[in-house]
Amino acid sequence: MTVLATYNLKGGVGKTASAVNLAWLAAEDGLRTLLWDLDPQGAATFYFRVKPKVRGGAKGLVRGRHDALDAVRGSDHDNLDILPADFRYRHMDRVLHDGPDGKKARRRQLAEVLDPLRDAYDLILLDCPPSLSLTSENVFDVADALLVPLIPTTLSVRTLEQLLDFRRQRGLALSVWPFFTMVDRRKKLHVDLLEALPRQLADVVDPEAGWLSTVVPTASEVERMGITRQPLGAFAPGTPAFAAYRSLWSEVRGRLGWGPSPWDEAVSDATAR
Amino acid sequence: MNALAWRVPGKRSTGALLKRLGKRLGTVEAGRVALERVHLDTFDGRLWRRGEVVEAEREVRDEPGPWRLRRRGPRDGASRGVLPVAALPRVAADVPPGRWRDLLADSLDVRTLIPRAWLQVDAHRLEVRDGRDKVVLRVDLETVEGHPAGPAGVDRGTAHPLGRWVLLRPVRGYDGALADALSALEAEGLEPLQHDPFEMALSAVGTTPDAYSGKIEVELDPDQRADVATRQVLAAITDVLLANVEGTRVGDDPEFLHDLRVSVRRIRSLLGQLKGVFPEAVVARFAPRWKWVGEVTGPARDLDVHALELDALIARVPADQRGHLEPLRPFLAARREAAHAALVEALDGPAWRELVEDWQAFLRAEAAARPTAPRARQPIAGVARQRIRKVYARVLREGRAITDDSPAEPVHDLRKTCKKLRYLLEVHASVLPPDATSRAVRHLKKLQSLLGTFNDQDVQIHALTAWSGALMQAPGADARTLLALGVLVDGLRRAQVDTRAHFAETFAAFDHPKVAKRFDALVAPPEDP
Repeated sequence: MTVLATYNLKGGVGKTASAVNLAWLAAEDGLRTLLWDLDPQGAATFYFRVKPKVRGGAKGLVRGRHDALDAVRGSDHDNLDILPADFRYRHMDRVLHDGPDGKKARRRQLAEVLDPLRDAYDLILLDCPPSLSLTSENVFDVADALLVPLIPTTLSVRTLEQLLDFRRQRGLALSVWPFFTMVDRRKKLHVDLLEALPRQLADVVDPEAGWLSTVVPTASEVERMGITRQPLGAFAPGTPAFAAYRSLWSEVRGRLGWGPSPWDEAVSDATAR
Repeated sequence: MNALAWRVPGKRSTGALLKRLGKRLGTVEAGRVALERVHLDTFDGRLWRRGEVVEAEREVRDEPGPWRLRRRGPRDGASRGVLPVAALPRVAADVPPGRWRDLLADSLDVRTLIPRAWLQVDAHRLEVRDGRDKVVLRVDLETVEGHPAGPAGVDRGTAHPLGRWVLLRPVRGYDGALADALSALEAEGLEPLQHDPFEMALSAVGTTPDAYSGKIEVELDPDQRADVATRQVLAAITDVLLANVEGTRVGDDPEFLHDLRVSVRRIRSLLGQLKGVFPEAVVARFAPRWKWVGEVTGPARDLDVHALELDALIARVPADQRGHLEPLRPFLAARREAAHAALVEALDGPAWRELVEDWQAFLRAEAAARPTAPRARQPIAGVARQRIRKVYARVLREGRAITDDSPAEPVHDLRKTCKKLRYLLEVHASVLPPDATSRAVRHLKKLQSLLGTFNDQDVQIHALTAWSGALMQAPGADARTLLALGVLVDGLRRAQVDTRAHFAETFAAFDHPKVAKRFDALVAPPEDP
């Protein structure tokens, strides 16, 4: 089982859209995929039309009173399940703080929630809330890699620097894979920063396994996901935005050593059921 | 019983049933679609035997779309995963690494996945949605025609209406919706399918997913005339042989040719071993022709085996030399293609056709009231026991004569004699004491395993040596290829010496009073009651 997390300290940068679309693409590839919406806002849960409720809330899951698998709901798409958000996840940090003694044990609590799911899923995607907290540290502990969407603006990139500093200070063995989203090539700032930022951060972002080269454009279709309440592949497979997510997914597959998607060769447009 | 598939009786109107289900469950129509669905399995139903059903499905369109493979359980229909594929997979490597490839690699061994049944499906799709417009259950009312595939999965056979059924596709976490649907279907007077749709598609032509077996299991009456009983056994062997012909023609699943050749060996062995059961003229008429079949199928089988073992062979040389043996692959593939073409030509020819016709006529013929063959009317049990006694004695004689200094030939002869003994034991199992037979076969298998390994090594050494000249002319081959080949052959020779070194102890284990006791029990006439 592989765990990926979409993460950024800043909100509104495309974490949820990325998590939802990558999860859909993974499922389309035949991978048994679980998307855990850790954000009490519940945007990913909303996109999949699932009720944002988990029995016992954060406490029920973290304390092991309720099995995570019992909380899972199948989406409308083959191979893709959702572990929904719950508004009580806003207490997640407190629940985790009140957990076992020892820093290491406190950082492993979400991993323990996911452990029983190892045999049931090939890929778990965590859609993370915008914070740098004990919840985030738990995510850093369990994730094989963080996918960090960035709008090419100075403020957005600051948050990447903050994350990388945090990683360095704590000595975390954590793969950080940033990529640009919501890019508007009509904006000179975006175009300039697309080129400049990877160079600027070359010392701190691993050149071999750091930046993902796909650029996800800003697109009205992504905003329409909130109206159609479906991943892009289900209603807009022919659009540049979907093509970008497909390209992003191909890169991620490559990083994970999974080879090309079965859809890369013969099929150019995804079939919505 | 498939809990998620419910039969719709013939007299129920589709439209009316859809309306009633719509009312009971609050379903919404999600479209009507024509589907092509294929059940994939090996010829001998290896996936079915391990409790897996794999079906591929796609919508029928002007331009066919991609397939979706679905894994499910046979008795409960619950989905175990879906995988899109551009083409129907035949081997494990045709699907991406992961659970699907693991399943196929574990299940198929050397066999290929073939279409076993094609279904044409007219599906009315319904969805049950909750207050958030979330799909919580899918309900498909399907009208289905089935086309069982031919033995090699190639032709589609004749269409048979299989009927209509309601398929429930539950969504994880929405058990209430499923429970409501099950109650609704019961209330409508429907009943769950007693068999899986895969079974139903094949039962239309009188077979089942796992019907094929290469084993010969004929229940003989011990007192039955030997000629009648032996015809029965030969008929069963012939059924297996003929079942493998089409697959042999196609050529991409080596087990078809393997099973065909085993059948030929069994036929030849019985004709040769059961002396006096059939007139000499009959044996003279058929023995040479079956020998010919063995000869024309041999080269293709040898090359199949070489191809199957190629990776293991290449792995025998040091890692830095393995690349130099890669020219062997296309070299072997070309030879295999040529041998297969020659084999197909033989199967297309008059000699084969006439043999099959004549042989089947012989098998169907009435037993003569006054047969000329001296043992024809003797009870089969006695004839079998007597023959087994003789061949067992021959195994011991031949084995005892082999010393450390004996050449390879007597070892190969012993292997052939052991095979004859094994065939006699297996086909006459129903008239022999069951316990003693299975124990005797167990002991014999161990000896056969060593002799088989010795033979395989010999075949490999000879083939590689014989090919060395031609291989040097093959594209990509150079002096390093020859050197690596030399290392490989040398390694095989040493392995063969090692195998031979174990012969004495392995044979001694067979030539043991305990084993002799088993055979004595086997061949002893039954005590009077």
